Amino acid sequence: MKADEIRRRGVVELAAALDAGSLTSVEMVRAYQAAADRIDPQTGTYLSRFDDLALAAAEQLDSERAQGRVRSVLHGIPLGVKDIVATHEGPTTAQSLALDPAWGAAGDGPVMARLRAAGVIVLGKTTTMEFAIGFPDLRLHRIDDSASEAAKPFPLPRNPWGLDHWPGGSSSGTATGVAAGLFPAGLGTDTAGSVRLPAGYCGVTGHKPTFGLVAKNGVVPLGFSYDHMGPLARSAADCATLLNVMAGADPGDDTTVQRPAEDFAAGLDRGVAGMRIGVARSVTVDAGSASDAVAGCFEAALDALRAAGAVLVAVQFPLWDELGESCFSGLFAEAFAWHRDLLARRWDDYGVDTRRGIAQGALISGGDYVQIQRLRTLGRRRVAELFQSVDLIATPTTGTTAIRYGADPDRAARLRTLYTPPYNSLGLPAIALPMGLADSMPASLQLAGPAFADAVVLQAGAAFQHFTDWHLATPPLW
Amino acid sequence: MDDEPLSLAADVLVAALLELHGIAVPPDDLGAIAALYPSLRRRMERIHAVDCGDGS
Repeated sequence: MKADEIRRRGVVELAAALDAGSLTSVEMVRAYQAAADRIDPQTGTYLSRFDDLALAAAEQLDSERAQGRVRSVLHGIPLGVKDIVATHEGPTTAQSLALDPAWGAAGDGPVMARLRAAGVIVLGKTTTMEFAIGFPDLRLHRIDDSASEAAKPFPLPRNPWGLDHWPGGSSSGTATGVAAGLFPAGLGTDTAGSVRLPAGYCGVTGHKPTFGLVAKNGVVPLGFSYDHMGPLARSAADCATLLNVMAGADPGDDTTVQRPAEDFAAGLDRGVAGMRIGVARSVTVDAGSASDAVAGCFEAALDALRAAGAVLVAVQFPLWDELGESCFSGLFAEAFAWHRDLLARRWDDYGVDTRRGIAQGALISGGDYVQIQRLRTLGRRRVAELFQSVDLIATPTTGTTAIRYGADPDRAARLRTLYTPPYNSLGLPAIALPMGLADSMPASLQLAGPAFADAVVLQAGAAFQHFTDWHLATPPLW
Repeated sequence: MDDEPLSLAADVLVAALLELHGIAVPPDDLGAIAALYPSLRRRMERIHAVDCGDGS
């Protein structure tokens, strides 16, 4: 199989080719590495690459396959891994000078260990926002060739659809890598939208699972009760395939929930005929926070779901603004708890925006934090009532497409365009699906469901991608 | 809640809160964090305004 063909295929297709003997893992790894040699200097996808280790792993997995031992459907599939997730190949930096280099020295956490046992290959660690928080701090990055910026240590992630645009964050490199064909899938984390936002801005698919479904130990925490680990890939089917391995309780993460094993890929071909999808326009496209172009893509996406047999009904999403705002306030408080001692010792080693953002957590009082938790409890109850009348809720993932680097950083206005944080406050499953191009940049559909209805969310995502082909689009940089 | 009357007090408050946690903040950072304080309080006031009932 030619390298270009490998790079265009998703996990499920590549697994089928491996099974059929028309492809080897070594061929795949070499194709992705060659693409990264050419493209990564432009996209800033990787913080570190493990070329030799990845090739050795591929040879081992090809050898096992030749002997009839196939570990899982992911046997021999290469991934990119966000650099706040520990892996045994190398250190984790969280894209920060402040993190102790010994953090993560124990190697794979439980999810990474599950994936490894299933046969995945780690091509490298991908760029993020420092400690997975906020927007890019241009003081930390090299954005031009000026000597004054040249000493800054981390690459600036760039959007393959427009290199002068932010790819979204904080799972930036994983999204750019999938979009640019540097790997077929990867791992991200999502505390206020950090899987779905970069997936949306880069035109790939990203799934934030239900809170408690996927263990998050072995990941540098941001807000422990808002953090989720999730897959980014070319399709909902690929996300389901990864989630099948990633899901499961772990004694090292008290927030995980013991549940019977579930096959998230089993119902992907069931479609959306008869499915009731609530459309939450009043808090998104009708709230003045979406561009006309994104709103147009959203209406076209709804038309596609309707044509596929879904029943669309307008819904009023309760406490939307409050749940979004409480996500940021709550995660700042939780982040401050984790970072407090590190901030005291290494203040100057943090990026300016990161330390100022996390320090806000000290300004949240005990009473504030308790009220945030009370609101989340009320929100879960009210939204569960809403899900009595609909199976899923649809919104755009964001109200605008990716911002251009150097654009006026009006953060308050920018935050209002993110439709992801309420689902972190609620812990509900949500998927970001490419739904077209708005002004030449990707727009994204978000479908969310009730707790532990990840299979339904993925089923609807797969149905949408059966009737549309936006997830197959490749960026100009290829 | 109004931004202006809070701005001076926020400087002092932010410095004190961070100092309680053993964090000494340079003046530039202190001013920037203090400038965030009014909007943070506004967000929190909106959250406190929600009647969450007596059950939680």
